[in-house]
Amino acid sequence: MNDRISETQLPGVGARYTLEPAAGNRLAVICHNDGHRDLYIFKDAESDEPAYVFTLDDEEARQLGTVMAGAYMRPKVLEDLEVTLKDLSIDWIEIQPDYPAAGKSIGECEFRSRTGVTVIAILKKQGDSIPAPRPDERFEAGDTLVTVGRRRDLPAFRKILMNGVGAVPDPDAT
Amino acid sequence: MADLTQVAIVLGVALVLALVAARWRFSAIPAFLIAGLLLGPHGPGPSVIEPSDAIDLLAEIGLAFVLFFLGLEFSPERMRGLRSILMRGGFADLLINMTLGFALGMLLFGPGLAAVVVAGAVYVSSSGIVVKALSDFRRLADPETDFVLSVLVFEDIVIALFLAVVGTLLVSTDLAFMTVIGPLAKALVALVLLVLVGAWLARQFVKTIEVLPLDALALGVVAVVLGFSAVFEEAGLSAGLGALVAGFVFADTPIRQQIERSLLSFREVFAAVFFFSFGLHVDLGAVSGDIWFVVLAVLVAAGGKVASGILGGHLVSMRPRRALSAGLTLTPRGEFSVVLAQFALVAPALPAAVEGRLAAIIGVFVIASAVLGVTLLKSSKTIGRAYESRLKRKA
Repeated sequence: MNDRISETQLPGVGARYTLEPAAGNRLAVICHNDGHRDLYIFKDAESDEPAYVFTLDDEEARQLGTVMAGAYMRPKVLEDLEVTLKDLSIDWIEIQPDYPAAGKSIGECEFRSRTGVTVIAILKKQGDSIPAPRPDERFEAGDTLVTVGRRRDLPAFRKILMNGVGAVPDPDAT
Repeated sequence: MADLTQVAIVLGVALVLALVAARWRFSAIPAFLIAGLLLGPHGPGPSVIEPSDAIDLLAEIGLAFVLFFLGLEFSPERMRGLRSILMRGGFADLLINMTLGFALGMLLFGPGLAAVVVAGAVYVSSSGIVVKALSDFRRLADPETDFVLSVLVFEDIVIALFLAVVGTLLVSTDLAFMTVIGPLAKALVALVLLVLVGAWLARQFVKTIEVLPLDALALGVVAVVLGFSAVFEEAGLSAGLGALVAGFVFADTPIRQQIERSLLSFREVFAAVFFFSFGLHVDLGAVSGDIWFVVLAVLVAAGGKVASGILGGHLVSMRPRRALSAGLTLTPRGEFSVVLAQFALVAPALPAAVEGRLAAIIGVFVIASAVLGVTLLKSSKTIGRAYESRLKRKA
C-alpha cells in the first residue's frame, strides 16, 4: 500500500482504506467481508461525519476500480473517450519474454478478427507509448498492451499471446 | 396446534419483525425476544405459541450456530487485527463491567454461581447489535470505531472462555469444590482432545471439499457442529461448548470464509428461533418483584460501559469526546447474555426457582439494554461533544 492510502483491519466487518489526497479532504473505502463496499466521502480531513456515503456491491466496485485505475494509467489521448463498462473491460497485459507473440505486430496476431478484443494502446517498456496503434505496430517483451473488449473474450486474447495465432480459430474461415 | 404450524408461525413472525427492524435500522434480536415474550404462555393475552420439543430442538440448533460462529471468529487474521495497544480498552471494559455485574448478581442472589452468570451477562456487549449499528449509521470510518471493534474482539475471547468454564460448572450437579474439579478437569481434557481431533478432522475436511461439490460443504459442517455438540452433551458437558469448539477448529482453515458465507443464512434462521424460544420461556411473572433490580441493572450496565469507555480511552490517549462516544456505543447487550441465560435455564447446578428468575431478569435486561443501548449509540457523538465542551468550560 503506498503512503497515501492507509489500511486498517476492522474485525468482524472487513477492512478500511483511507485516502487523504493532497487536495485536503478525505475518502475511506470500507470493504465488507460479504463483498460490498462503502465509500465514505468527507468534506475535509477533519470532519467526523461523512458528507456522503456510496454503497457499491462487488461488481460495481470492481468496475469503478477499473475506471479509477484507467484514469491513473491511461495515455492522455484516451482520457476523452467515454467508456461504458457493462460487460466490457479495459485490461493491461504485460508481454512476457516467453510469449510467442512477443515481437509480432498487432495485425499479425489478428486479435480483433479472432477474439473481438482491440488493443487501444501499447505502453512501451522503453520509449514513447503508442496510443491507438496501427495494425503494423509491433510489441516486444516487457511492453504492456492496453485492451478493450468483452470480458468473456479475454481468455482467447491471452491464448493468442501465449500460444500463437493458430491457438484461436478464425471465425471467418470456412 | 401441530408442531409444523407452530414453527411456521414462529418463523413468520420472525420474518415480519426482521423486516420492521431493518426498516428502522435496528437489530432484530430484541424484537425476537419481545415476540417470544408476548406470544408465549407467560405473556399478556392468549398464548399463541406453547413451548414444544420441536421449537426447543430448533432453538438448540440455533444456539449451536451462534456459538459456532463465535468460535469461527478466532481466526489468525482477526486476532492479528487486535492491536495490542487497544487491548487496554478491553481490559478496562473487563475490569469495570465484570465487577459491576458480579456486584449486581450478589445483590440479588448472594455470592454464588447465579451471581457469576449475572456478571457475564452484564459484562458482554452485543457484537451483533453494535457492529450492525455502526455499519448502518455510517460510523465505520470514525476514529473511535477502531477502539470499539477491538474491545468487541477482546470480549469475544473472554466470553468464549467464560462460557466454557461457567457452562461446565452449570452442568455439574454438585458444586462442592472437590466434585467440581472433576468435571472441570474432564472438560479441559475433552477440550484438548477434541481440539486435536477436530484439527485433524478439519484438515481431512478441507482436502475432501476440494473434490466434493459445494453443497456437501454445508452438510458436512452442520454435521460436525451438531456432532461435536452431541459428543459434549453425551460426555456430560455443555452442548453449546461443543459447538464453540467446532468453531475454533474451523477458524484456522482456508475454507473458513466459505463456511461463513454458506452457513450465515442457516444461522440467521435458527438463531431467530433461539431468541424467540428464549422469550417463550421467560416468565414475566417471575420478574414482577424484581423490576426495580432490572432497572438498576440497565442503568448500572450503561454507566459501566461509559466508565470503561472513558477509562479505556484515557489509556490509549483518545480524546474525551471519542472515549465517551465509544463507551456509549458499547452499551447494547444482546446475544451472548441470552446464551448465558439459556445455559442457566437448563442448568442442574441451579435450583429451579433461581433458574426461572435469573433467565427472566436477564431476558428483560437484554431487551431494555438493547433498546436503550441503540438509542445511546445513535446520539453518542453528540453526547460526547457536549461532554467535551463541558470539560473545557471547567478547565
